[in-house]
Parts: sequence; C-alpha cells; structure tokens
Amino acid sequence: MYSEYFGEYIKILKVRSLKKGLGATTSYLAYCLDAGVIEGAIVVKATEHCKPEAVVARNSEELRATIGTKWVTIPLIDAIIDALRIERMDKVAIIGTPCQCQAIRDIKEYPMQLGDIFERITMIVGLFCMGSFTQDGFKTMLERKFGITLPEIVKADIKADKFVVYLRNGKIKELPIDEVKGDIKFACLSCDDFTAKSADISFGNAGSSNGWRSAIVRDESVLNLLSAAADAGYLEYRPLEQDGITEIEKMARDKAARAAQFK
Amino acid sequence: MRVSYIKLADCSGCMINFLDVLSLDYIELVYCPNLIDNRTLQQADIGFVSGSVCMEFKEHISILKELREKCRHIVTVGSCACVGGITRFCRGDQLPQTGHKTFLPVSEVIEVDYAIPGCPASTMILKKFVEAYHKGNEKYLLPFKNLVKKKRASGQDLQDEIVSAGLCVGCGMCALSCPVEAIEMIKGLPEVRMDKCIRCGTCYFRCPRNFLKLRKENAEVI
Ligand code: SF4
Ligand code: SF4
Ligand code: SF4
Repeated sequence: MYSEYFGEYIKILKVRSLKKGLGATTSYLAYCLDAGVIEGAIVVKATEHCKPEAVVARNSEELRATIGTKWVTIPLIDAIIDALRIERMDKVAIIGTPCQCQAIRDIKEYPMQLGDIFERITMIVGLFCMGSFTQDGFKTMLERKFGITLPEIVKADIKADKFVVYLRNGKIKELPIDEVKGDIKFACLSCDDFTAKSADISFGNAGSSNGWRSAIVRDESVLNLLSAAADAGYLEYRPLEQDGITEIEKMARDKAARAAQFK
Repeated sequence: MRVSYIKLADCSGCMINFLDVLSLDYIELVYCPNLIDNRTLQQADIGFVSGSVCMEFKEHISILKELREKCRHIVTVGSCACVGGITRFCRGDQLPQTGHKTFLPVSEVIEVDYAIPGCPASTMILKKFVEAYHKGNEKYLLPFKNLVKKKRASGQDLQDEIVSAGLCVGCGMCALSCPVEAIEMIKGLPEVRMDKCIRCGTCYFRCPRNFLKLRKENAEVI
C-alpha cells in the first residue's frame, strides 16, 4: 500500500514490550540480536547530561543502556565505522530519525564510496520525528526557557502538549510544546518526513498510549520477525486503531505543511 | 547493449573500476583503445568518458565530437570528467606534456546525458547505473542526469548550498564518502578542510539533502 505520509507500507500496528525495562523498539531489536538476525544495532545512547553518543549495541544488555528519547541528533558515522569497518559485522541494523534513515537508504541505493560497507546494513529502523535540537541549541533552550543548565537534568520528555524536563534534584519542570518549537534545528523546518518513509519499520509514540507504540511495517521480513518476537515472548502487537492512524496522519500532514513553506 | 569507453586526461582508476561492468552479460564493449583492438569508433548505446578534456590536445576534442555523434547517450565517469576533479588543480608547463595546460570537464565541450561522479567512480555505482539504464529506470537515473548541469562541485559547494543554507541535518554521509577525508564532523556539522579537498564533488552528490534537488524532474541550475 502507498500513502503520502507513510510511504510504501504493508501494515500499521501497535506494539508493546513484554520484557521488563525495554520499550517496544528495543524489545524488537533485542529479539533480532538474540535470535542472531543482526549482529549489532547502531543506536544513540544518552551519556551523562543528555549528551548523545552513537554506539553499537551487540546484545540486549547494551541495548538497555540506550533507552529513551534523545533530543539532539548526531552523526552516526563513528558507530557505523566501528561496526562495519573495524568489527566487520555482516548484518547490522541502524536506528535513527527519518533524515538519518533517508541518508542510509540513499547511500545504499547510490553507493558512491568504494567497498561494500553499506550492503551490510541489513535493516533500517526509523523513529517518528517532528524535529530535534543541536547540542548547543538544546543547551541554550534549557538555559533560556527553563532557566536550568544541562548538567542539572536527567531526562526530557513530551507529555501531551508539554515539554517536560526531569531534574537531578527530583524536581520536574514543564513548558507548553509550542514554546520550545522555535528552538529546533533549522534543517528540521524543511524536512517533510514524519514517519521515516525510507525505513523498513518505523516506531513512534504518536497514535498510541499506555505503553503501546505505533509501528509502520514496510518489509515482509520485518513482519515475520515481529511475529517471531511475539512467539518468543518479547512483545505483543495488534493492528493500530483508525484513531491512531488518523493521529499519525495529522502529525505527518502538519510537518509536511511546515516544510512546504521552505520549498 | 553496445558500449564504448574513452579515456581522456585521468589516472585510469575509473577505467579499472569500470572493468567490473564488463562482466554483465548484456554488455558488449565495441570500442576502447585501452582494452580492445578495434581502432574505429562504432555506433553504440552508451559512450562512457573518463578524464577531463585537455583543450590543447586536439585529439581529445575530435574524438569527443565523434563519440557524441555515434552514441545515443554520453555518460561521464568519475569526477575529472564530470566536474573537473583533481584536474582543476592543473597548472600546465609540467613534464612530460609541457604544452598541456587547460583542462575542462566533458560537459563544457560536448552535450552529456548522465554524470557519475566519484574519485574514482565506484564499481558498485557504475554497475547500478548500467543496470538501471538497461532496465530503463528513469527515476534512478535522474540524479545523474541533473548533475550534468553542475560544472564544478567541491566541499565548498556543500558548505555554501547545504550547510550555510541551513539544510544540513548532520547525518555525516558527506564525511563518510569523502575519498580524502577532508570532512570532519564538528558539533554535528561537516567542516570541510579546503586545503585537502580534491574537488571531486562526491560529498555534494552524496548529501541526502541535496538529493531533494537532484531528484527533481527538470531541476534548474543546481
Ligand atoms: S525533523 Fe527531519 S531533519 Fe529534523 S531531526 Fe527529525 S527527521 Fe531529521
Ligand atoms: S570534500 Fe571530499 S568529497 Fe567533497 S569534493 Fe572535496 S574531496 Fe570530494
Ligand atoms: S551529507 Fe549533507 S546533510 Fe549529511 S552531514 Fe553532510 S552536508 Fe549535512
């Protein structure tokens, strides 16, 4: 099936993790790693003070350390080089924002560089994205809008229409999402892809709640993996209700409209 | 599919990578003085050209013109032929050909249909191009067609048109593809060291944000 907002897809599902401490995306990846479908997963891990770092997770333990939304997008290339050039893994999954998925899809379709390293990225996992910050932009936003510095926070999240930051001292601060929107990366404003259309499977919060995550499946083999992961007790999934689909569509439409102004 | 290949001012790296294309069973090489014995240009579907044109060397110009007449499509292979590449640094007065001074990309001399950059153009991209051409996959060929309009491309163009224009998403693919590692990601954005850049245009073609332009039908000047 084709949709302007979902790309070429097979199914839209909602997925919930059955493994303690893992989210839907990480449960799915944990299954792929445990079952040997992939040897490594290139993911972004938040180190201290929400500073992101691209790493290669080789098992579900390493994956567990990477859970949570990162507000800053960073180049994945160091981890790509680690996994593909240094460790010479043959089957690697890469998890990223729509723009990162697009970059990997392009480089696979148009292999300009010498060697075959991108053939060995066998799975692209996308994350819904409305925009992100640069490291400096995130820091400045926290200072100006929340009056706090980066080392003070442990986590940031979006809850309903609020951008919520959790502080080291246990306090919680929040602001309406509209107030932080102006601080996202400029490049995000011209980006029209919400659901990571070039990924084999995309996960996101939009459209689901209560521990469920929406998932857009674009590849038959991924669908088989999901069902195998469900059989192995890693996760459960069901078709996403129409309400959920409409919600994702709405966000995707908003993002595309925002980007259209820059065309 | 009948193909010809001519080599102008280049290092032969592209031609060596091109050898792999000849393993495709539907390819028939009808002219290539460096590889086969046939000395007269033949009618062909594609005329591949690698290397830039030395304007002081009349044979370069005459063979290009003849190639254009005899081939349905002209495809430039590698950065020297497409955008000048490293031959943009030529100063002339060098041995053994002291008379050779001026080097231009092929599209400045004859009409070109597709440009495949790279220093050298990779085996895989050449194969993918030929396969797409064979199948008539216009959509895949579009970026190569659009790139013809670009007569020069370097890290500076990436800086100007992508990074400074606020389009860069910081994916790092430019840094990964640069053959001389002239690009370093600093604070999540590419920083080009122009003293290292060999003006191959790989990063420029590679950048997924540039693909927005390169993938457009009838893209104007890029
Ligand atoms: S909004 Fe687009 S450009 Fe910005 S981080 Fe998300 S996918 Fe990348
Ligand atoms: S920066 Fe690197 S890839 Fe880009 S044009 Fe220069 S040498 Fe080529
Ligand atoms: S490839 Fe393009 S978008 Fe990616 S980091 Fe380089 S300039 Fe930015």
